Amino acid sequence: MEVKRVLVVDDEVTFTSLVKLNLEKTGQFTVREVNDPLKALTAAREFKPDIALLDVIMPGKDGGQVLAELRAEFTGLPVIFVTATMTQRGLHQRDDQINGVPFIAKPVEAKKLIKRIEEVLED
Amino acid sequence: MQIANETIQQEIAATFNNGLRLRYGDVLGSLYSEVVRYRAGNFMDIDELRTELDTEAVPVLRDILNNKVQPPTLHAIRSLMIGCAITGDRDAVLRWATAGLNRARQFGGEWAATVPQWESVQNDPGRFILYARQLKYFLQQL
Repeated sequence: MEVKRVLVVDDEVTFTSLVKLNLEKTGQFTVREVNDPLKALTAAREFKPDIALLDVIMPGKDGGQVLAELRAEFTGLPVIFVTATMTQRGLHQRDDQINGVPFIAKPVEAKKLIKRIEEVLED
Repeated sequence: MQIANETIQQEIAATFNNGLRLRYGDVLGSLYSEVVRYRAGNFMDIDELRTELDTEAVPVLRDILNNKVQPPTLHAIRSLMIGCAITGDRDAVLRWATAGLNRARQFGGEWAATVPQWESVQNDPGRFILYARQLKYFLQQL
């Protein structure tokens, strides 16, 4: 099975480290952590991700701005937004998406995150 | 009953003018009418408030992910920040302050003038929460 490249953009170092650890131990993913959203585009150019996990609110640049930059160069790049601004319950009531964009609430369970990534990559 | 509610709301507005507004300036301080939306009898149900915060976060998240944050979005962010302060959620207050600060810096004009206010919340969220919780206490006495 082809190893998928996951770009994780989040200013929380602990979060990106945990995502990297949990995803890479499955052997299905390789992960690039970016903790400064201003560096997301440069990292994406080097890494050429199959999918991006983006925090919504980050200092300096928010997830929407990062997505706009990424999509300008990587058309159709699948994205999952990760947010602590809503509860799991609140997002679940909206089928875990807002405006058709997949969302996942923090704190994130590794199994749930992996399942969500697989679902989005299959779409 | 209508008159009584109006009187209560005037008192609440005056309290804000003496507290949040003086501390945080006009934009962050003039929270009462847009943010608290006091409804006699049920507003201070914290569970209800948390549910409402979830609901009200949706259009803000939609604007952010579409990269279409406009001044009304900033007003909504301000509302969410205050709501989260009333629930005592320091991390959430900081998140919304960060979101507001990012965009206030970009907008220029009147919103650029609010940058120090967002920074003030970021630098001392505890004080901001304290004011909000004082409001909660005040409302509970009504």
